[in-house]
Amino acid sequence: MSHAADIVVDRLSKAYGAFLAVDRISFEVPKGTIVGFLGPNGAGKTTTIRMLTCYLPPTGGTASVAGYDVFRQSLDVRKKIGYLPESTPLYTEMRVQEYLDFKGKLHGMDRSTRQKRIAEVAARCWITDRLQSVIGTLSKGYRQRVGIADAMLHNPPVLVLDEPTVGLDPSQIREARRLISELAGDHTVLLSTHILQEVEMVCKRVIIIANGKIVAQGTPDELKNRLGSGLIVEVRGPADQVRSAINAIPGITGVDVLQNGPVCRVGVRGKNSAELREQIAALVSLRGWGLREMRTEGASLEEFFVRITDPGSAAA
Amino acid sequence: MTIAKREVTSLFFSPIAYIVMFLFLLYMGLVFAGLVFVPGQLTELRRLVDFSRFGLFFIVPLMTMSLFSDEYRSGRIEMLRTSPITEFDLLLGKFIGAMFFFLILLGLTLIHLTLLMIFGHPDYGQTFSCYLGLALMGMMFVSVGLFYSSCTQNQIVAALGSLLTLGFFTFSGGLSELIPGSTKIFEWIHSAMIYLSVGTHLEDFSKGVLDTSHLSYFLGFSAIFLFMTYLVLESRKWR
Repeated sequence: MSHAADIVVDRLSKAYGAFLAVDRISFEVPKGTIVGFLGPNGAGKTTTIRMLTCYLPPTGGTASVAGYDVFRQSLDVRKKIGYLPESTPLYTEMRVQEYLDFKGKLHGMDRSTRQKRIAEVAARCWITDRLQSVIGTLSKGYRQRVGIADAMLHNPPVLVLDEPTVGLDPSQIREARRLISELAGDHTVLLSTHILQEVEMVCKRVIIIANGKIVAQGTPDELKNRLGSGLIVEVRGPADQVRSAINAIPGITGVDVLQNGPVCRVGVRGKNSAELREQIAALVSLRGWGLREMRTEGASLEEFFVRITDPGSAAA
Repeated sequence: MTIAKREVTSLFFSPIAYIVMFLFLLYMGLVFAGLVFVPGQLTELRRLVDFSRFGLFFIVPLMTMSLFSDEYRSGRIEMLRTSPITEFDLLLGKFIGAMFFFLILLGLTLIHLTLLMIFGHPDYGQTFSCYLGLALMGMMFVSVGLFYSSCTQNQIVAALGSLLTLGFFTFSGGLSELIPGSTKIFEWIHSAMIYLSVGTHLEDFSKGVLDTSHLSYFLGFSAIFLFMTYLVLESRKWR
C-alpha cells in the first residue's frame, strides 16, 4: 500500500491553557521528499513535531504519519518514525554501542538485525570509531551524530529531525547536510531548523510557521520569486531625485534609499532583468549622475523569512 | 525487559547505588551485631526483619528517586515516549528494574544468614517467610518511591515525598500510641493506624506465619501506588 504523502496534517491545533501554540495548521509532506520546517523560536515548530511524534496529543485536528493516525494508532506511528529531539537526550553513562543496542531492543529488533543496523548507521554518521565511548565523554557534535544515528536505527520511512546540525562544526555541518540529502527518496524527512542556508541546500519544499500559523509554503525558489530579487545601485547624486526617477521606470515595484549623502545607495525591487538594468544605467547617465556600482542581490530566503515572520518589518 | 535491564546496569554506574548498598549493609550489620548475633538469642532472622523497615524507609527513596524524575529533567522522557513502547511497558520496566536492585540488596543479607547457619541451625521455613515478607515490603516501598518519582522532575522532592509516606507507614504503629483512646472516632483512627503500619503485617512473616491478609496488604498497596503512577504517566502528556 502506498501513500502519496507520508505526513498529512489537517487543521492541527495545540493549546496550552488559553495560549494557542499551534493554530489549525495543515500541510503534507510527499513520500521521499525533504521538507524544511522553518520558523522563529517559539513559533510552534517543536510543538508541531511533538504532536507528529506522539509525544503530545493534539487539542484539535488530525495528523497522520505513514498512513497511521498519531492519536489513535500512536504505536504504529512511533514504529514508522525516526525522531531526533531538539535537546538530543541520551543516557550519558552508557556507551554508544550499548545505547544504540538498547534503542534497537525498544524497537523490537533481533540481535543480528541490531548488530547489522548499528554498524550501518554508525558508518553513515561517522561514529564507528566512537562506538565504545561513553556518551557523557563525547562532544556535542558527536552526541548529535549519535542522535541522528539513533533516529535512523530502525530504518524508519519517516524521519523527523529537530535542528540536527546544532553543535556541529562547519565541516560536520556540510557532512550532515550531505547525509540528509542522501536520505531523500528512501525516506521522508521533516527537517526543522532556523538555519536558512540549510533549507536552501537540502530541502525540496519549505514550510514557514510563525505564531502557530503557516505563513508560507513552497519550494525555496518559489518563495524567493515571491519576494522578487533586488538591485543595489550606488549613484553620485541627490537621493530623492534618484529614487523618484528610478521608481518611474515601468516594472519597478519599489525603491528604498539605503544610504544618503553626496553618494547615495538605493535598493531597487522589481522583476530583475538585464533590460531593466540597462534602463537604469541609461537613466542615470542621462541625468548626469555618476553610476558607481550596480549589482544584483539575489533575494535570500533569509530576507523572505524575516519579512514574513516579523510583521513589523514587512514593508512590502 | 529492555527497560528493566538498562535500569539495573545504569544503577551500577551511579554512585547512588553504592551509597544505598553501603547504608543498607551498615544498618543491617548494626542490627545483626547488636540484636541478632548475640549469645542467648534464638538463631533466627526475626529481629533483623522487624528492624529492617526502619532502615529501608529511608534507603528505598534514595534508590527510587531518580527513576522517572531524571528522565523528565534530562528530556529523555521524550525519547522514551516516542519509542514504540506503551506507558505500561515503561512503568513495568522501571518497577522490575528497581525490584531487581532491591533483591540484590536482600541478597546481601545472605551473609548474615550464612553466619547464623555456621553458628546455629535456623528454621528454614521461617527464614523463607522472612525473606518473602521483606520482598513484599520492598515491593510496596518501591511502588511508593516510583509514584513520587513520576510526580516531579526534582529528585529531592521525590525522595522527600516517598520518605514522608514510607515514614508514615513505618511509624504509624508507634504513633498510634499517642492518640488518646477516649472517643469512638479516636479509637477508629487508632486501629486504622495500626492496620496501616507495615510493622503489623511484617510481624507474622518474621515469625514464620504466612497470612493472606498480610499478603493482600502488601500487594494491595503496591498495586494502588503502581496504578497511581500509571495515571500520572498517562496524564502528564495532557498537560
